[in-house]
Amino acid sequence: MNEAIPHPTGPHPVLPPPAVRTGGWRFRRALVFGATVLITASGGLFMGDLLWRLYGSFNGASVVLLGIFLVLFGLLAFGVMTAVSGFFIGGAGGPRINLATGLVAADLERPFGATVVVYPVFNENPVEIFERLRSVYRSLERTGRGDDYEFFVLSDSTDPENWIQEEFAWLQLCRELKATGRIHYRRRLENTDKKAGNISEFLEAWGGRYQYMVVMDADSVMSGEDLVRMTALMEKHPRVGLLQTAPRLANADSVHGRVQQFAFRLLGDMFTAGLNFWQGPSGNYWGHNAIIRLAPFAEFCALPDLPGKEPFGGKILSHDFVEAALMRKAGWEIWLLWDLEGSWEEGPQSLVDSAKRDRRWLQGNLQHTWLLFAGGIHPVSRLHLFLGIVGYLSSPLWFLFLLINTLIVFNQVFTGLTLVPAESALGSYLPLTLSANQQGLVIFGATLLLLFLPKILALLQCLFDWRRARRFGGIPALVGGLVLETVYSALVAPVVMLFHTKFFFWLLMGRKVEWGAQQRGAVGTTWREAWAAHRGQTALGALWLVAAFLIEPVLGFWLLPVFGPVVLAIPLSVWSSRPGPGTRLRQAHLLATPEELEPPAELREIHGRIGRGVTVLSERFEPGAAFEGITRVIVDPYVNAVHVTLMGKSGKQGAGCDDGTALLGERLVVEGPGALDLEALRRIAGCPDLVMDLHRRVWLTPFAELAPWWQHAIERYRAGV
Amino acid sequence: MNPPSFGGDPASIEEWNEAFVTVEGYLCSLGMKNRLLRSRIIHQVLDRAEERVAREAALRPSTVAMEETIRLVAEWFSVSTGVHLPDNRLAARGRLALLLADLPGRYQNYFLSRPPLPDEVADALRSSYLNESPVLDRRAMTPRPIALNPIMRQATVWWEGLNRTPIFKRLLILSALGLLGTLLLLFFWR
Repeated sequence: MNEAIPHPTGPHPVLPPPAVRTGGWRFRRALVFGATVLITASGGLFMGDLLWRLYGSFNGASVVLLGIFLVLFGLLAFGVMTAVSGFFIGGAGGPRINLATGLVAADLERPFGATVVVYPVFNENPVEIFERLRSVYRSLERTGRGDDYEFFVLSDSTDPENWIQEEFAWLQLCRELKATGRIHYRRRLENTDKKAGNISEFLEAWGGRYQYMVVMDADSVMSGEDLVRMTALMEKHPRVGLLQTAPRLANADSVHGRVQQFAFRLLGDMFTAGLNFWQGPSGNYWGHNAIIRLAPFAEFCALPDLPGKEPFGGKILSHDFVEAALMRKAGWEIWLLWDLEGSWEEGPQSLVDSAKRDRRWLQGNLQHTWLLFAGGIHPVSRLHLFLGIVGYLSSPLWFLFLLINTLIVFNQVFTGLTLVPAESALGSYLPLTLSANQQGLVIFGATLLLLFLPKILALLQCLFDWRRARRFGGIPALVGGLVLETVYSALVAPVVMLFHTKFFFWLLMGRKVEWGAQQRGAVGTTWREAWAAHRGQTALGALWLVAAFLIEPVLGFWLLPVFGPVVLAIPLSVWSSRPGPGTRLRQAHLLATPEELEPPAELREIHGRIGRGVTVLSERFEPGAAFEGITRVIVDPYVNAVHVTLMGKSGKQGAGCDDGTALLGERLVVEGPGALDLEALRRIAGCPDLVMDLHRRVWLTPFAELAPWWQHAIERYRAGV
Repeated sequence: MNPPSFGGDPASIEEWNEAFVTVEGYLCSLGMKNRLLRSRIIHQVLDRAEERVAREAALRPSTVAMEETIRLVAEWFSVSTGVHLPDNRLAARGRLALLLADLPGRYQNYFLSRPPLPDEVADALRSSYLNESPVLDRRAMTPRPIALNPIMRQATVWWEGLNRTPIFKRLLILSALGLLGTLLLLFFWR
């Protein structure tokens, strides 16, 4: 809310300057993919030979099994090769853009193009959103480059509670930071095209004002120092269209959240360094904690609708991968800033919340099938799209793998026929004297080795670097954490597989995903929610296990590690979502991360203020009180004023401000907000003149004649006397 | 200032006391913490209210007092800043300016005080009121067509066509799954 702030915006080219050949990327990719193919082919040969030995020939079942094995084993091998690259390459001799070595002091002092930091939000906790924003703003101020940045909260919130509190939180933040004119708030009346549409509408209105845009999520935090570095990198490298950071997870309280946080932090550096090793300037965009050059983004990255309707067609859900592919297609470089420390986000705190997020991502990623073979897409961008798709397809494939194996054993038992083993075909070429059982164990061992190798490498990294180990609480805590993480991941993996498989079939049946706010913060899954989410899995797991033991006890024992945890999914899901067990692990320094043991100033400030209850809303809102937003907007003169002012100029009314809404307003005053549903409250809040009238009404009505709800609300001010 | 009579009888005194408490609550909600200043304004408001009630006996003291309070705030803003507030919506914006200019805190001595205000306070109020959204600076975002795979496009057209008969579509999927399962069983059957 201010006059335009002058910025050195400079030219806004939509096409990149000519490329300077840096070379080496094809060799790196050949190295990683070559090793992946080699490992996959070796595993495939062993598996194929085993199937040959078991059946005496290749039949339909063995071909299907081998195909699934190759896909799953190949994905595993590719992940491991990425981690191995990251382990060996790390920083030294690494990519061209490297914050540790790529910038000099002069780069940080040169004039920057105007940069906007945007926070697209949708019904998330307003206090947390604005406290995070506050922390980032203050961190930027400390760099001395704060004047180069503006902030925009782009709200798509539909819940009047969130919407009203966001408005006042914004105002209060501007007051406290004296940032009027630097922090802006804009709410859309229609949530067209969800997050991508939110950003796109913002750019259509104000995009020309800025040269760069930093996209944050509602749970994103970044250090000012790294924001400045990112902008300096954009200035220094005019071919770069987008820089993506690798945000660290923070603030987890539950066991589930802390396991994810620990694993991402310990293994993430290695994986992202490895990713950067082979993708180089053809990186990906993960939707937030990234800086974007706006001119080419606006020119090339507007998203077309896909042919057909949702779930496979229609609006593109996972917009980020596609935007990256389009930006790369236009010739701009996209880099992953793997070595940036000051970038954080929060993850889901429970298995159920993870599943909800995965469902959205699954649909979004499967939509990308459209673009896999689209013209002009860079091969590495195609690979990103492919990995996203196949990553989610691996769950139904694993399910099919288990099903076929069970059917094979069932068939053998039911028919009473025994296998007619053949000689190993590999044995003719290689000096192998393994029995079929031993060969099966070798494949199993190789799979386990691939699964555990990244963890072993991460541990080695810490053993070689004591400073890093100390940041995770020391070697004993680190080893304890890794064991816990391994056990927990093994327990939830089959549950996640069943979720993904179910979502995949729902998608085939045409069930599309609804857009919901992410649950952040460990409030815990209730038994009722867990029952609703896992009852089908539990029943399936129990039936499968019983059937397996009845068919052949050995099969039952093999399937026990898969379906045992599934049978226990409900208590596991509830337990792992609760803050209590997570807190006890934290007290024991298990699953500790550097951010937890030595929180950076930005996170410390957020925790401190929220912990003390001194926040942007604490002056006028009672935390956690029911209907607090709608109550304050009616009673509080300032909350009312900011709401009415932000709704627009005089005479402008929201949609649906008619006599029906006026009647709802009447009910609100007479009966209190508890008598109305969310839609009714939304309609009232959307009518500024009605909200003003109701404000006057509750204050002008003699106190004794007010409904108890409003008496109580006004009492709070009287008590302040 | 002469002390108001407030009707004289006990019931009336009680009503005026209620008006006092309500106005005081409202001033508190505006962030006016200083009791002395608050008390001065309440008396000012009640004086105006009493004059009106004396003219129209049917009016309720509490209601009239609150009307006068809201009017007083809007008038004071207009006179102090020279900004005309012709309607309620703009009055709300003026009220917001009080908070943005930190009238309840930094300049509370001047809150609802007799104009003219010191330049610094008036300027703070005016600049808070005049704040606008950033100037629009548009950037077109027009989607470009993507050359999609023609086979997939055709497959989708066919798939979408099935949406017209959702029961048939589901039956088709279930049949396909059943067929797949049967084929697998036949493969295994020896």
